[in-house]
Amino acid sequence: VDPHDADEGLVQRFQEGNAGAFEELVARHSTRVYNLCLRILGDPDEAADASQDTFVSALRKLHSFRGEAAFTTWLHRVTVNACYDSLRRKRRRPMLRVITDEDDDRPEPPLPSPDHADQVVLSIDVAAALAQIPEEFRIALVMADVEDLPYEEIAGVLGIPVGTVKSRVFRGRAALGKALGVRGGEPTPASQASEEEA
Amino acid sequence: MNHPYDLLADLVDGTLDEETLAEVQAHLRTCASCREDLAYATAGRAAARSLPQESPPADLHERIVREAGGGRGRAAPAWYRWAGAAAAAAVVLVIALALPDVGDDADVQRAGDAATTEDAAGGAATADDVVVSVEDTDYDEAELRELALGADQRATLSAPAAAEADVGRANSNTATRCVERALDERPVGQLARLIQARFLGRDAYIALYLESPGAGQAADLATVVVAATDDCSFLTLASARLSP
Repeated sequence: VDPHDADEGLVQRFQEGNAGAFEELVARHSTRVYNLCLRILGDPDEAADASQDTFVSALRKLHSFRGEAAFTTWLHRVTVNACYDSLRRKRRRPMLRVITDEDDDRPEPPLPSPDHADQVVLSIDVAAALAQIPEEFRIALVMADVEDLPYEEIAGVLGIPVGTVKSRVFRGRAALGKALGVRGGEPTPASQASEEEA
Repeated sequence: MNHPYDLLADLVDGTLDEETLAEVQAHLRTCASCREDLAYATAGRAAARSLPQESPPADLHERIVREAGGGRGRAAPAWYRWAGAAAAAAVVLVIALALPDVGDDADVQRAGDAATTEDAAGGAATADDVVVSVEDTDYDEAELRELALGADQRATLSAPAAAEADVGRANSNTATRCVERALDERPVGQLARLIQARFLGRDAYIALYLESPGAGQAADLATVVVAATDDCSFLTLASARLSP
């Protein structure tokens, strides 16, 4: 398998019986899929399970992939569906869980250096705040601002109009800011500059 | 006008044309709830974009292979067996990379290629195509920050051309290993540049790492790591967010 092949080329080769092509797609996309699941579900174990379900589901469906959407859009759709399934299962589960010794043994998130300590603490706060915002806003927000997908692609993934995507992203952003208790100034057209300070 | 949330998203992104911007600003003057949401959304966007990309658990790949292969009582697909062989090959290549520089250098370079493919999104760094440039400069903290800020986002693994003071790939492997040892074998992105110079008077390797928010996207974080050349101890680190 040529690692420089486009995804769609790999899909075609998988459909033609080249087994290694799917393996290459897994290697290429597993980090992105895992991060999308992690930010939507807010839990590393659930994110790993949902990533696994995504690829198993993708393997099953890939023979019928006809290229009407880009492969990444298709894979994001499979991923979001796996996350919805996970969220549904969670809602059905009772909230109580047994705390075991294992919980105490979990390693703390690494602190790369004292310089970065504030940044790491902030990431933990943001991830926790993200988990509090309503599901449909969160999913749109994660795709737009964490995964940096264009609104048009998100609309394709979720099967909703672009305007609705933007509304959800905006309301998700506002909910996240509220959950964190931080306000920003009114953005200027060059608002991207503010990210450097973030 | 109802609350124009979709246009407010564009306003936060800074993508509104002047005419629409004026309409939205007129609405904002009369709508306190939108003004409040806008302030929170501006902060919320920056916060969401500050979240780092996390590495998946090390066994995720294996779990996918196992589940896809046999978890549902179906026959293992052909790629499952191939994946087993590929995983074994990847282990051998990683070991080859970690060994002292005794073999054919070209093999090490090819191993670097393969490891890059495997771990591209995970940010593994290799010495592939990164050549040490030797500089007669004594860097301080401010100059390191300049170095990070001046990083070219498109300068991914392949970019830096051989410098005039190129002292060879064997040296670049030594330097890479030294910096990675200083980092406890946890590279902070993809290695883009290696410099042999001094830091506050001490002989040092200075490595520039780039991190991208996702596969195929331009890097948005540059980190400069400094390790002592004599004992590979960690000396300092500076990082900078790169604007798009």
